[in-house]
Amino acid sequence: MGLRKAHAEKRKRPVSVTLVALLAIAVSIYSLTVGVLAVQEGSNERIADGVFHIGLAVGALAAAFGAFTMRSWGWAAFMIWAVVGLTNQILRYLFFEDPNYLSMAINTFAVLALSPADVQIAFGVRHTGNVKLTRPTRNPVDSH
Amino acid sequence: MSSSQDPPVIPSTVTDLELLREFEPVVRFTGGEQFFPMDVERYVRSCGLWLYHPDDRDEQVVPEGELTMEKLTEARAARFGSVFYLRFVHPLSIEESARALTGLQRLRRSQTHRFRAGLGRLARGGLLPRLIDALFSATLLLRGRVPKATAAAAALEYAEMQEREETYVYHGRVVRQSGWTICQYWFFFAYNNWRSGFYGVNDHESDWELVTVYLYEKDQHLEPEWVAYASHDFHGADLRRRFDDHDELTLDGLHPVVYAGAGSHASYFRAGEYQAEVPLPIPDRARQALDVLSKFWRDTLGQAGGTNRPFRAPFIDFARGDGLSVGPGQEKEWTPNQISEATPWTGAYRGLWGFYAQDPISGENAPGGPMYNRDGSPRPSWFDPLGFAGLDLVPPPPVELELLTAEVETLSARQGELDALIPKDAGTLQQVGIRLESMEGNPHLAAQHGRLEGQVAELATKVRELRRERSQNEAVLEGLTRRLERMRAGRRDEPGAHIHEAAHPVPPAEMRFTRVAELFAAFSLSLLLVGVVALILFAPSDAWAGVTVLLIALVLGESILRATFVRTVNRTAVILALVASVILLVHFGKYVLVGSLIALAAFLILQRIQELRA
Repeated sequence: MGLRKAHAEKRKRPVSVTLVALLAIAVSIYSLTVGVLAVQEGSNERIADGVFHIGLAVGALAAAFGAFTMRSWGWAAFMIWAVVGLTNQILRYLFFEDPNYLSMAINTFAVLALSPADVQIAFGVRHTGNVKLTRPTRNPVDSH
Repeated sequence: MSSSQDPPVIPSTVTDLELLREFEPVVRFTGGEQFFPMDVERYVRSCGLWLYHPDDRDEQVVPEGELTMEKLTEARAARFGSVFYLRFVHPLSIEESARALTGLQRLRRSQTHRFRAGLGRLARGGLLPRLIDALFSATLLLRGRVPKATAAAAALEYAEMQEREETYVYHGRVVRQSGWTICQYWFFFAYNNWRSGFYGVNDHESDWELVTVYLYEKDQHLEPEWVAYASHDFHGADLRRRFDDHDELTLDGLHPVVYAGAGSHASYFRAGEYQAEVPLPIPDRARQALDVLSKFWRDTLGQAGGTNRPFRAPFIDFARGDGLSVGPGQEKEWTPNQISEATPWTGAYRGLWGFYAQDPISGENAPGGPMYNRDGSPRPSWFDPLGFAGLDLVPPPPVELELLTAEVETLSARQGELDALIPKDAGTLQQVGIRLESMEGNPHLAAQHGRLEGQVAELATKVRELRRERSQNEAVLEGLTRRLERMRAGRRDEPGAHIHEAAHPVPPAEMRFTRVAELFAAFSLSLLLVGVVALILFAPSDAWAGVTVLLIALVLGESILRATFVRTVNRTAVILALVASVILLVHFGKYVLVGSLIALAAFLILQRIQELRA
């Protein structure tokens, strides 16, 4: 476990991943605030809503920790979160006309930031063996 | 499995029939196979000859029981668009169909070698391949197809024939081309029941398969070098294996061992279960669009697993080799039947060798003969057996040494010429260059300077091309010399060096909770459809949203069973993110543009500041 941790910490964290983790912390703080306020209101319905938001805050914080420390489970947590969030928002957009565009944008950014091959490799969820360079590199002294 | 032994000694004076017998293949069928290689004459005698007219009319030309090889090969005129075809099984009434299907059940029970699809067959493909599979099956309703009862009737008819006289026949042909002696073994089957019997792609009356052995002459002896098997999805050099390739080719003495696909009869070098891919009949434009999307997915989004052939239905070709084995020293032996261009039925009959189902993509139509394609055009494997296996550019080993020596000599001579020519032309170029330089600063020499510039450019190009040729020749010569030395030392290329893509058996499905996965694979598609029906009936306003959630849940659920959850969740997330990006662009295009420009400006400012501070 110790070795794994050390290995995870050694890997360089791309800037986009730091941004995603910061966004997750922001979402966590927002959810926690909403959740605590809702619980304080005291009605059963609001308490349930509050507990859900607090749970969401804990989840977002865990995902942010996973992203900061470059753990593969952190990457998976973000993807699951994005699938649930994006499905919800896209369906709301298509069929119920009340999407939360901010949530849609955050999730889209998270997916596009975490999906490139180099990021997946950095998280250890993809091996270098199945990666092909999009364009071969070219030395300027080469000519046709 | 391969048996190593001394090189075979076959005198080059051997007769064609003896030669065919020396290398006749051992064919190992899969348990449950119902059709085996047979004599065409016996088949023809059981058939009727029919003519399909372009006005969608079928005419019986020679009734069943009256057809002979002489009648088959009679010259007959017909309009463009007509198709002559044989019918092994006459059109069946409902009672006959029911009787045939019951009879087949009895026949299967009586067989020594039985077929079991085995656990994991349905679960080998994901939800999308199974959906494509279902679509492919649905296309059969629209395309012409051979009824299942026809396969049953054909199996019973063939079983009766074998009961009367049990024979296993190949049609052998020996042909000599470009220094090679080629033995072709044509196997004729009364029926291909891959779809109806073994969950495969197609059914059709009659089937031709081909195994070819390539030999060369050395010191008045014939030595085998290559063997090629006809197989799905492979072409050219990928069809052949070298005789000494013990990893890829199984030999029983001198006899190549063929593992025949159940029902399809396709030939494989190794026993196992092979994944065959059949392209769905989709329009070219749609295919091009899919190619572009696939490229975007793989190259732009950096996602793994993008394919240029996404809409191909996956099928399994079972070539287990656990059934009847036919060949020298096996359970059953061959009866050879020698053929050539002079054999009347090979050249004179250009029609189909079984039922014409009018399938536009031909999968269910019977094939033509060994010499012809379905449309009557010449079959390359007959007229160009070397090109068929990518051997048209490969000389026999003894000739190769001579050709190689000659090539090295030719190229060395040219290098000698270039060695003399290049310094001469390069010297001239320098002389002219000096003259050109001396003209600079003399306006009255402008016209001459212009002319000389043209000459210099021409000469410089010539010298560059000569140097390029010399450099390229040097590399080629190095390769040729190395190869020549290797050959002189008796060392050969790796036996599989020519293979770009080889058919390999698929390993048994590695799945978590195998039984659950199998059940899930069997019922998930139906479950999805039932879910859609329930949504339409009970929540019509939310049906689309419900179907989307159901589909995503099924895909993710299956990915857990297939141990591909992480990959699948990423793919799903990327697809959803792309949809969300389009939505965001549609609604906030202006802001996205403004934001991007601000970000670009900030980035540029940051870069300049860093530059100034450096």
